[in-house]
Amino acid sequence: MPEPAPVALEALPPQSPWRMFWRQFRRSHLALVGGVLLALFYLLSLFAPFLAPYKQESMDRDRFFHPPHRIHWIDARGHFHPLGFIHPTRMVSLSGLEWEEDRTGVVPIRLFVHGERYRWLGLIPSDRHLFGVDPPYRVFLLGADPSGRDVLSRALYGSQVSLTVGLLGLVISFTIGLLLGGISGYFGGWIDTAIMRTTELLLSIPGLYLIIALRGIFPTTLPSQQVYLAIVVILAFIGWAGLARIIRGMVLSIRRQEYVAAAEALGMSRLRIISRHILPNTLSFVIVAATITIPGYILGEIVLSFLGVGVQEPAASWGNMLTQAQSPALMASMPWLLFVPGTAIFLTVMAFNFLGDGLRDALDPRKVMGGKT
Amino acid sequence: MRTYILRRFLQMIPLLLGISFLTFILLQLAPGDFLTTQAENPMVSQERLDAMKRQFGLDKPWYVQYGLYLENIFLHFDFGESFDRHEKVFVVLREGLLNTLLLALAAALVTWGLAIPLGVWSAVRQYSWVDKGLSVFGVICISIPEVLSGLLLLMLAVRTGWLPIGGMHSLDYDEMDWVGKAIDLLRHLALPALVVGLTPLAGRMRQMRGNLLDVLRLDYVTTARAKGLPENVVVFKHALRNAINPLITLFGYTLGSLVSGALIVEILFSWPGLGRITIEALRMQDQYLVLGSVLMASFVLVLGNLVADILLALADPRIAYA
Amino acid sequence: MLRGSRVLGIAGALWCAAGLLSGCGGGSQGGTAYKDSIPLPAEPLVFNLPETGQHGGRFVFAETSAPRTFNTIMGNESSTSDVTDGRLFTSLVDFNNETEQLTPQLCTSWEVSPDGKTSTWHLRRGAAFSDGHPITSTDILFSFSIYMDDTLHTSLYDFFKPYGQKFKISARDSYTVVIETAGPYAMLVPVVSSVYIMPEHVLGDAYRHGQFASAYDVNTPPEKLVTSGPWKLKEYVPNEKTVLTRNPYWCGVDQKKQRLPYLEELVYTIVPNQNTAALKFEAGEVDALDDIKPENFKSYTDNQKKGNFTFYDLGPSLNTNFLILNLNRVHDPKSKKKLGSTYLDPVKYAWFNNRDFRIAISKAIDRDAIIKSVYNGYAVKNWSTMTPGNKTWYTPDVVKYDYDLEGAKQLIAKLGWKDTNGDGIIEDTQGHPIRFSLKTNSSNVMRVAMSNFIKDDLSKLGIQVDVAPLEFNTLITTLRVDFNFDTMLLGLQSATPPDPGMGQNVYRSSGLTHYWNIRQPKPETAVDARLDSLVEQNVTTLDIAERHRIWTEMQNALNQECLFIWLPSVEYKVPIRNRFGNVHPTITPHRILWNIDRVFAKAQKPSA
Repeated sequence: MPEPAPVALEALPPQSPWRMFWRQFRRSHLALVGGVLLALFYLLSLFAPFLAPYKQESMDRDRFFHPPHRIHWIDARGHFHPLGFIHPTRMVSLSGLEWEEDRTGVVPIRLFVHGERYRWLGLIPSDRHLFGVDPPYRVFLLGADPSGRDVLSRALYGSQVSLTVGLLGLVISFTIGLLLGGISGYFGGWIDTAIMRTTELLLSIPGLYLIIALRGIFPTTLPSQQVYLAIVVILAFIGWAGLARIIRGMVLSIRRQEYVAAAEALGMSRLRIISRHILPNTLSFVIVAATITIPGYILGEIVLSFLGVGVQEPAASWGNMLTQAQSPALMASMPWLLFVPGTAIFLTVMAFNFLGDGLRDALDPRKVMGGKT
Repeated sequence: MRTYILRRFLQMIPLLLGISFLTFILLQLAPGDFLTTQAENPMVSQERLDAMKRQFGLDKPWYVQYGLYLENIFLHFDFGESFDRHEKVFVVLREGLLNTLLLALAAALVTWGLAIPLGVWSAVRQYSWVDKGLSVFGVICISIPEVLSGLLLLMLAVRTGWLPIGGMHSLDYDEMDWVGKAIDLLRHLALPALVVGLTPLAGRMRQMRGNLLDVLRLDYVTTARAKGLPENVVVFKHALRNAINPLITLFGYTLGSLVSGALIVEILFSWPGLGRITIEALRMQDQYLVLGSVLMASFVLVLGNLVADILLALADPRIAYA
Repeated sequence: MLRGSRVLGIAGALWCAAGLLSGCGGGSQGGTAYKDSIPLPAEPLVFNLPETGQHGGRFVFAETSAPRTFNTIMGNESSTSDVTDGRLFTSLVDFNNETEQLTPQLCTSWEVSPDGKTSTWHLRRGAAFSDGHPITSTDILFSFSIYMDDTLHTSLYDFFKPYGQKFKISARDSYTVVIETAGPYAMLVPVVSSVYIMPEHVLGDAYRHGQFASAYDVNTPPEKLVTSGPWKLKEYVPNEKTVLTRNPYWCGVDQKKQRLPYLEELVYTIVPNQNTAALKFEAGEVDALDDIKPENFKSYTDNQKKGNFTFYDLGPSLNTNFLILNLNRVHDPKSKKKLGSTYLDPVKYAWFNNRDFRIAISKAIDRDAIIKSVYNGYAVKNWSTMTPGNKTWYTPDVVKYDYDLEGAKQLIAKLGWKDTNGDGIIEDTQGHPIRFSLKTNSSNVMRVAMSNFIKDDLSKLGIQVDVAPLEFNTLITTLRVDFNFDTMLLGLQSATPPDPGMGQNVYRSSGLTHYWNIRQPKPETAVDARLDSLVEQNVTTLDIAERHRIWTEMQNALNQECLFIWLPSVEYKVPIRNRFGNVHPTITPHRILWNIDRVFAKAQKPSA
């Protein structure tokens, strides 16, 4: 991409920081793609019960290990089906690992079908699903797992766990980190020392080891929902320390600025000074840090599932779907079991990283002014 | 300078005390009265239980227990007893710690060995396809979960037959001469170190690139160029040395995250390290073993930080007097 | 020179070197030719093998964790017993998995008096420990006393007290031991086969000072670990491997009078991750695997030729799966709850105590679907602690409550339980919704899958089940110590020999595995009393036909009450490398290693 021609700075009309940020951000194609992808994933996860043809624990006993259905458009008689259709299938061997299509049958895919009941967001009951087929058939766009559960549905429900665990953990740890870091930097003295010593303590224990030790505190008999919450709490418990230290450093430098002295002189309450003046200036850093931290939390959930102490069956999370699919024999005969959660995780983490890179570049004052860095 | 080093050493003590207190609290918070559950285990004799009770004051108030806990650790190097393995925790962990450190060092070699040349390359070819491509490569490395990449590499090893499938030593290790032993170790280290080492690659590459670019902007570089020196002499002979320095000390700071990152790999590749022991201990609710392991891992991290701080101060004495 | 590329260059050179050397170093066996300098015992233990082999070679077996001790009597887990039981240590009598007979091992013969109260055992002259010390009746008496020790209270302790009286053991001379029991005891020989012989001259002192439990721990130097079995310890590397080598004084020989074992080394390599173990087998680093899941059977069957191994079909496992309901009462005076009260709240207890309810649950479970889905068809229905895989004790026609959804619904209707508020869940006559939890072992994937199936099946009756997988250790604590569960899905492994007498603790009301209500001081229900009396009869009759008749009654008594809700048992298949001879895996444990002292490595043609 050619360098922008250097322009005399006086000729540029004054631009708001928001405009400059956006202009720079738009230059990074990868970051845009990342942002769009993430928005899409979160949207999908929000509407998961509607988009998923089946519930996550819904088993089809006759169709375990079913490969992804192939969608056809023109049937044997030459009719065109605008929404596509699938053929009914039969198990070839009892082991369930081979299926064949019955070319004569046509099972059309329908939109906005009635299906299993669910409560959207736990509040609004409904039974509409985006697509589906008439019973007793089932449509597995991404195949079925060893218990006959639809992989696509589980991936969608799993996204709810895996995507929000990062977000929730982030909200909790950043709130604590920002507050404590801000207070520490602003007030100084023994408060500062106390908070900084605590962060040093937390940061001195290698991450996974601390996660394991903390997981050991929670009774292993917890039901799955509470395990999820426990995981979020654990991740948040580790995450706030690093952020607090950096915020403190930034606060220390900002605090010495004139406008803060002015606010103090004007008698503004300290809390207001912190929240109104200091913290917003740390915003750019916080945004970038957030996009880097969330993938860490998502991968943390994967690790806990791999170790067997994460979200348990029958609830789905990308972590436990990945763990379940690991056996080499399964990978050879049913690769989709591994690649669906694996790709989802990979794309999500990658998208966060690209977004973070793009944000960082866009917020970097040196770049925004044009010219070489 | 000497006072700075001394000060840093002294600062380590309250930190270690703090960590031991944290782990002690975690021990207390863990559910279940393991004395009762262990009483069910026929392998654990009543006398051993009684000995543990005395040694750690398990029937006394918590501050007495903490005191005994500290005394046992710092004076007797006794981290308690592993009920599952019927051995002292320290004995169980000793080997594992060394093996994990070895893996961490090998992984660091992989990371640095790749980050430095690749970072230089992208700095020198700034904004070109090389630069962008390497940056994407780095992001890809972070985005693949270790669980997945480890498994894929294991399967690759099986298909090609070049490298052993996990473990640390071949079965004939003891009969090899020292050259054979070294190569055997390297072959077993290769894949696990690769998996652990590739993950932080993006960050290190970016740092190397940034450092070099920063240095290249400095006055003395411009001077060297003005003197007519060829570009690669400028970059490799003058700039690089200064750009690498900060990275070297960074190693100490990252030791902790390497140890942590090795945990999953240890399980996948059956590397007999600290992490593997810890996970099994967690499953068996072998509390003293879990916490002893957390303590040891933390000591390693703190030591790494200390060494890095000292190296940094030696390289840039301004820090010592800040 | 550029620092970075220097590093790369070194790394590259090393990598190439590693690649070049990857050809060597794998699979080389112990070097020196075998020479037996020790004279054979006066009365060797002769095995008539289908094939006589030659000495040398190494067999590698994968374990998921390290042994916890080398003291066979104190060991509790399979990672320990795989190494010690039958390998490091052996007994007077051994169970031959192939013939399913108890055969003389460290003894040459035994006689039982006509009244069944006295048995005389003749020891094998010339049999010696791994340090050359002869095995005499001192060692036999010593070993028995450990098993019968009141303080150590080993898991087999109760088996040494038929009629409530301990065995009386005495030595008539150095090579003759006499055992007296209060009456005829059908379990005499099986129990004797479970007594592993320990060296009195090494461990006697430790035992007398009360330190036996910590003797022979994993830090014992190999030369100090004196063993009685075909193998002795060569090396133990913590968390990596256990290596056994021949006991040079072992009394076993083949028909050509070559001393056994043939193999130079038996290696247990520790691979915690099952998938990695499968990959290691594929790469040739491991010679056999013991825990293949049915979903992987096809892949192993297809790869036999390529991998040069045979995938043996062992038939239905001897291990069981079942669902139990918590009818436990408080028997521990130290417990916080009132003695004799139930652990479950009265509402749930009332449901579970109702026989018709239990039968309805059993009838609601579609076992055929479980076999198809969870086990890919590789499982069989089972209704007893002795599964169809047990050739001797399997009884086909016992009382069973197989899948019959309509019948189940009728039973529920008869109880007067129905869904009164339309939420899909039925309520009992007091209006309590029928809802309970089902706990199982989280690391056993198939049990978790079965739990989900049962949840699904019972929902068709209108019963809500909450599946809660737990860590194994926590599960055991829940099962035996705090009784904090509603229902549990678990299973039992078969004992060796697989005789109902060895598994009697399931039926005995005082037993630890009488899971619905363990450790009763006195039988609390009529069923418990009946089972107790039947067990007593079964183990004190020597007449085989009579024992079978009583055994059938035992099973029917248990199944009639539906106190164990039986679930299918998996079929077992194991892959073993073809380059070993005399390999004969069996469904009885140890499935692969039971005859490892008779297995040999076939002569290998040198590879190109």
